[in-house]
Amino acid sequence: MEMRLKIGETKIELVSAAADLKMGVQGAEERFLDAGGDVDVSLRVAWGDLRGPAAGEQVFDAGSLWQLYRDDTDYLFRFTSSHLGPLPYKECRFSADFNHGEVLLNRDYLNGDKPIYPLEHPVDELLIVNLLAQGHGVVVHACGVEDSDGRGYLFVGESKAGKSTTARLWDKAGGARILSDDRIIVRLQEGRLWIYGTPWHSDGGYAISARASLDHIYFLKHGKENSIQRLSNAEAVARLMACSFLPFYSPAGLDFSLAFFQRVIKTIPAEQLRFVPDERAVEFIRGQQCG
Amino acid sequence: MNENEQNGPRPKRRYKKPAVQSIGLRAEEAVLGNCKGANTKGPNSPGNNCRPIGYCVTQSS
Repeated sequence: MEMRLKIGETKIELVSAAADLKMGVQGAEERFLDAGGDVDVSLRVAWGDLRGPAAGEQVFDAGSLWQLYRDDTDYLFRFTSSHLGPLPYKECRFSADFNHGEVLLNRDYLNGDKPIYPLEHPVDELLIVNLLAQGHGVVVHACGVEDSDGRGYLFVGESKAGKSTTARLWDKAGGARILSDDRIIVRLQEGRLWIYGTPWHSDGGYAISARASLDHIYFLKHGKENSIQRLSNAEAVARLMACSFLPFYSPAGLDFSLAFFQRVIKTIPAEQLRFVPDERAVEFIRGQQCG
Repeated sequence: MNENEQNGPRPKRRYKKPAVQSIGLRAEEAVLGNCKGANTKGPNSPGNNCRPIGYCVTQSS
């Protein structure tokens, strides 16, 4: 059994190695299913015995959910939950370029009768983060909007900054397309910067497989009135780094991400946006573009 | 005569002492150490395709 996904131009193929391991997706991920053609990432999915210790040296500990190990050639992610039990419920081995790999699932913790999404979050996002860091782009904590005139806006902010609110306001205003209310892929394609929707949405459920040009960046902040404040290039780059999902265990990946954001900020206007959560915020932005 | 001599000396920019500006990073969000949401599908979701344990006690935004 095969499954194919396309997220931010990255095509991923999953192949189940076991007849009793059915794969499937529900919700936002369904919108990112893809047909045939070439693939960028090929992954084998199987049941695995995860009772032994992880191979290699631990290089990163993300807390309760996952740890990363590295051996001579591969990256190994292990996912554990104290609620499930002491053993990992999933292990993902990726080649150094993240183009090939294997997902092993712990049968004891999973019910094989129903379809399983082997790349269930955060695996899919970790995979994309690491692939993009090979020189392609970055996943940003942001809401992405394409307005009716084709302009693409990136509204950047950590939790509670107003990304979901912004998505709802633009949706309600009409004429705009919401790519995502929480995670946006920014990447360079054909010499231009683009923003892509992702499956990793927030409360609003905004998640579409589409892209828009990147024309303006706003760092969100709640305010008593709508206003913008120009930022220095250094501050804008620092804020993008702080609101992105980066491979902190990869010096080369961090170097690329920093250089990528420097290029973004040299090209795209970036400002802090203080906004009030009503329709005037949309009018304010549209007015800025006309002015 | 070069251009500088034609236009006169440029006024010196006032020295501004370098200052460190801190930009906060929320590590718990940045490392993807949490589940994406309560309605996540897959092994995370109670009653879906794993045992109904709902282990996702902390959610990312």
